[in-house]
Amino acid sequence: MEKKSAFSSFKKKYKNEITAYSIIGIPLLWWTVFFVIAFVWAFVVSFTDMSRGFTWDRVTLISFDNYIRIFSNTPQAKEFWSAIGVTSLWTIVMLVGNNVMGLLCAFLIKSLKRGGKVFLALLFWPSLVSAIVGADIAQTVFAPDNGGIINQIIIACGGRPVEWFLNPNTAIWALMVIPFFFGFCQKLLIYYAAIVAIPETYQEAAYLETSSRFKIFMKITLPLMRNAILLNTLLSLIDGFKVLGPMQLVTNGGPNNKTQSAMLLIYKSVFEKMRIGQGCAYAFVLFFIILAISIVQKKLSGKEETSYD
Amino acid sequence: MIKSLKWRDYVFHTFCYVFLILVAFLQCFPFWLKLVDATHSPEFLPEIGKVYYWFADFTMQNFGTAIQASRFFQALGVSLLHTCSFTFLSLIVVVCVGYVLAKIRFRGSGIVAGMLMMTLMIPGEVMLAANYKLTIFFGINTNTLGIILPGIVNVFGIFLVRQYMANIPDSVLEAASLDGCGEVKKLFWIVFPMSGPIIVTYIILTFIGTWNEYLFPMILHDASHSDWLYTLQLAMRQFNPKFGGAADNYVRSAGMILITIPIIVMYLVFQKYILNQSNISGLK
Repeated sequence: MEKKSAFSSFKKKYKNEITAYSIIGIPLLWWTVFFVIAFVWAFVVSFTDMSRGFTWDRVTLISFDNYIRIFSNTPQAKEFWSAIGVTSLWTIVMLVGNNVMGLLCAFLIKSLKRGGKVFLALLFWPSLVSAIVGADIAQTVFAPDNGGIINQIIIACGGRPVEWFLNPNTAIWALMVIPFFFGFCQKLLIYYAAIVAIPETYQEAAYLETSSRFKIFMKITLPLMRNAILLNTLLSLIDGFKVLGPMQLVTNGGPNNKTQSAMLLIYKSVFEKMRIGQGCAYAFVLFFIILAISIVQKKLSGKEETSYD
Repeated sequence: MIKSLKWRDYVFHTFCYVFLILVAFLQCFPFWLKLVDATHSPEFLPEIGKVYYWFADFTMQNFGTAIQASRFFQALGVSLLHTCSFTFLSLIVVVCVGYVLAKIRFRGSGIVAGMLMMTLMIPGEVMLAANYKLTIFFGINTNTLGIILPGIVNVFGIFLVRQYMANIPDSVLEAASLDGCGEVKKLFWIVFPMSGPIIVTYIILTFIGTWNEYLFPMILHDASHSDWLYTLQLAMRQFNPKFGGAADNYVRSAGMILITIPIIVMYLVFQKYILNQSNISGLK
């Protein structure tokens, strides 16, 4: 009798916990397996020389050798830091390009009197296109000699055709064009949502002061879109750091590793060269770099919220 | 003064239209080139150094060839299975966890949310090898489960949904509790219908993302060559000359058109929801 009441009082006291954990128990377990255990596994592997398939036999712990290799004068270090450079370049160009273009188009669509929805629909759909199709289009548009449309334009302007994907100086820039043109649409949609959410009265009040659209945009609209800008920045960073599709499908990291992104390098080390330990070490150095960046970004962005009340 | 303002308005609007039409044209034009390419008959010999902007020697034959060479319908089936079951399972997870984190006050909720939040910062690279190892460990690396199960706890989605559900008034839920509604019942009969917009947004985002997913299926498929991992993206990859595909240019273009069609159809059907800006403003 005594025991039962103790149990029921326990049940009453922890009612919320029991419900909550019984609902999220399985997802949490799942998360533990596929994120926590996976994370720990990769961390442990990064200290080993695992290279004969994904098994633990004949694997030895080699302490920090994989990491030391990344920070000393070795081919691996050269490859890794060049990949980090490519990824950073990609991320920065995409971040700035996509967000500026998205903001601009969102602003222009908002200021249209008629047909805004049509343009939104027209501009958005390419972001649904997969990396495979994007890569194929890049190969068509930037075909070497006079087969591609870009080279045709260059020839028509009196220039010499460029071997876009074979020239180490142009390859990465040529790769960026299609993802830029197809990728800014998603940003555009989020910016458009934010721009539409700003009450009209704000702009009307601003029009009484000045007639310069640019000024109103910079002083009124932009600060009010802070949340959307932060969200898009975050999305661009996440997408940018794991970019692999265009590189793998078009150039496979060539020429001269000039288009080898970090993700491609890790994919190649783990699944093609089977240097799993080294690949995991690469991934963790990248992880710490990203962690540092996001901590700095958190510090800079603070925690204010935009509200229109 | 007013006159000059009107004149400037006129110039500005013209600029808007010209700029947007130009951008839309630049986006659509490559697909037009692909379509033209895809409809040349196999015997058609293009002039060297000429880009064709209009149909020449029109035929639909290449589409048939592409469908046969890539085992299109089999791949379509696998892709549909993969995308639909992934979207469904991850939706259930996301809604349940999002609801619990948003609406139930329990000890440890901060810790759970914080731990989940940490996962957002881990780049996909770190998980690549480990997830592959896990699929082998669970014996699902040779069937569709291998590409469905690892990702179904979608942390980004959880926070998306939690944000939205947090705005549902507590009074509604309390009223339901007074009427004797349990938590699970509340979730599926009250909160679920009330979060319609964010759920639609989540379904669309996940569907598109999964449909276009290519890295992890490729890793598993290249290791086992199982038909259950042969998604549409991988089917079209074989036309990429880099992967040793024998298909010529026209068939390849036809393949690219074929693979884009399902997404376009989905876009046309769900356009209203995809572009509905009020859904996305929940993204704050």
